[in-house]
Amino acid sequence: MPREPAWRVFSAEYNSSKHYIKATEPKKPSYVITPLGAKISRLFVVGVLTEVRLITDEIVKARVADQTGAFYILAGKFNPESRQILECVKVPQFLAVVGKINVFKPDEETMYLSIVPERVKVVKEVLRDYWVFDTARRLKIRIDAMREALKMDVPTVNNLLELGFSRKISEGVITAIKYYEKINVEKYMDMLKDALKHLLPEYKMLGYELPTVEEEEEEEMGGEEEELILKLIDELNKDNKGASYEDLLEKSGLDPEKLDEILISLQEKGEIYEPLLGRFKRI
Amino acid sequence: MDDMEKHIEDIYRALGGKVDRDVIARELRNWIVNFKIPIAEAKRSIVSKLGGDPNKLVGNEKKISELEIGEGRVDLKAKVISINSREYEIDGIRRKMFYGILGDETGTIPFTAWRLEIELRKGDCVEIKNAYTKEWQGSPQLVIGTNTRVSLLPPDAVNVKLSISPRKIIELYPRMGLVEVVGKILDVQEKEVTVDGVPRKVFDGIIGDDTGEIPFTSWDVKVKKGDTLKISGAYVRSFRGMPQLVFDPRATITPVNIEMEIREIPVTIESLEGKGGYNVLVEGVIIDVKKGSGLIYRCPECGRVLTSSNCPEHGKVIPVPDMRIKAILDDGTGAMMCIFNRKQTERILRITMDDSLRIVQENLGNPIVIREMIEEKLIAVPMRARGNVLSKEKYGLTMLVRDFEFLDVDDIAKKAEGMLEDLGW
Repeated sequence: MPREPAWRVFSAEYNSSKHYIKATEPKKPSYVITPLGAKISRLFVVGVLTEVRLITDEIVKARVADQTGAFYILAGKFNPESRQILECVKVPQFLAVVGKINVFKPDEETMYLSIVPERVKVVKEVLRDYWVFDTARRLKIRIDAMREALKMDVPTVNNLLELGFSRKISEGVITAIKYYEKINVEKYMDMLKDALKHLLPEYKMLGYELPTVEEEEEEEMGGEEEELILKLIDELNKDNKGASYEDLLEKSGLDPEKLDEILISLQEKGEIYEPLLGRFKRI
Repeated sequence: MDDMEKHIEDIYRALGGKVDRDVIARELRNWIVNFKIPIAEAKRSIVSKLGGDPNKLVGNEKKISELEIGEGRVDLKAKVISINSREYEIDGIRRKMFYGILGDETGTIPFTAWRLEIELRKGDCVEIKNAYTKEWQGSPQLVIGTNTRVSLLPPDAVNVKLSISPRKIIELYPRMGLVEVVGKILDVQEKEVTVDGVPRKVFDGIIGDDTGEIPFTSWDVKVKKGDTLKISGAYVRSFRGMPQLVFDPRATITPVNIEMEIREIPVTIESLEGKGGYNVLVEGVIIDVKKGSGLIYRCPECGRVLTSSNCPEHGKVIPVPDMRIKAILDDGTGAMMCIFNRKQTERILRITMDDSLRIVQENLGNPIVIREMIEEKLIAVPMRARGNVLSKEKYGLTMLVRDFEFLDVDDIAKKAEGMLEDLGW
């Protein structure tokens, strides 16, 4: 059986996927179908590591950004080598990741995608640039195939094969047409051009807009919440034993998951510590 | 025998000879001439009317050009254009399957036979009953299964119309039917073999065009190195996990006077899946380095890789050190294992084997340190590799690297600009 290829896709295409083909047999791969018909079970990504977070003792979540958004990387106890690298490197950093798709589908409508790493390596900038170029030219082929397919009265795999597209591309595009109602090919064309422009010297001087606008807002929100928790920790610090977790939960009005996240983040930053289990104090 | 007589014969046989041919002829003429019923329908009705079983009619006989994908019952008269065998193992029992190309006056079709009751050779004419078709490379393929009967017909009972499709070398697939190729003979060796007591000349070599290269075997047709030829009527078989072009005096071979440039542009790994390739160039990124890479030890007798000083074949031996790399090269369309030999491994690491022996010693004898150095050098790094690619069902693709080079990634800006220009930016 041929090994599954490591697809080159930009994060925006990967993250906008809404369809997932689950393996029906053990040891067979599952696939994410992107709107342009990449049928992905493995990916190869080179981007900028912008954030690393300990979710639990065993799971590390990291963000690897490209020019279109960011991939989420989830390394758990089955990926000890990757996890160790992620825990040790400083951000920002150019990072290469080979990994398998990971799908979290809380309900019918929503699908969260991440990558579970098989390999992680700190690399030089030129390798990221090569990845962007390589990914752009692969994207171009899928855009071409999708445009041709959308022109056909009845798009079929054979018709695409006859036009010279490969079997994987042809099958993927036909599958995507079946799953996605509207496919905005031009959006991806703009994305392709943007990504390539960032490789030109005159654009490079301007630097990258990282993280993207959307994420900056998210970050600020996080900042505000952290401020709030810090204040609460001071207020609730009775008898100098530290603020109790229960009090923080009640007064902050946050859900436990969010609160955990903030507490972990503050501990990481060295703002607070946990003198007793479930008690938090400012350093 | 004209058509009418043939139909009468069919009905006569379906009725087991119980009804006189004259009676059948009168019936048939009536249905066809007076009632204008289609011939197949008329035959069924007559057999049924005269007390027979219409299913006994050889009504499923088809011509090759009529065959489609997914036909359940197919009868066929055809000539064997090529036949090859391959051994496989099921439940520990070794079996032989056959594959090749069949032809009739309307065209050709590839076939697979899981079992053959009679021995078939190239040129035999056969009657095949109750075969079926399935999809193979987007076209129909005839399958001779366990319920299929194959019987020999007299020689030349079937005339073959050779549908020959012009192809580029990169497109050649085993069992694809007859092809026409224009290529340059890059290398050739002559040898003599004896087939059924008859001495024959065989020319083995390599032919290339602007898309790639392929090994060939020519039976009794002399070809010279440097010739550029149009070979019309060759076929492709799988040989040692790679496609091979085969032709003999029945092919039309004409010299052509064009300058042939041999391809230097890489092929996609996907295009090699299921067939392999000879001396192909591939461009991709190394995404994994496998166990057994780096410093290894071999049995001095058989070269087997050992993890202790015991060889399963030769017992207690003094293992000799060697270096190699088993890495996964991936171009986004597919992936394959690449095997680098000692010299290439030394080139990648920029150290000699003696250096690495010393490094391992300094690290308390743990050879993993060398593999880690290889990972550091190779993972995520783009390269071009050239070599023979073998396709094995169980393991996928493996390239024995003949030569490689790391890609120059410093001019990406220029490439990006070029691509943007193409996009009309």
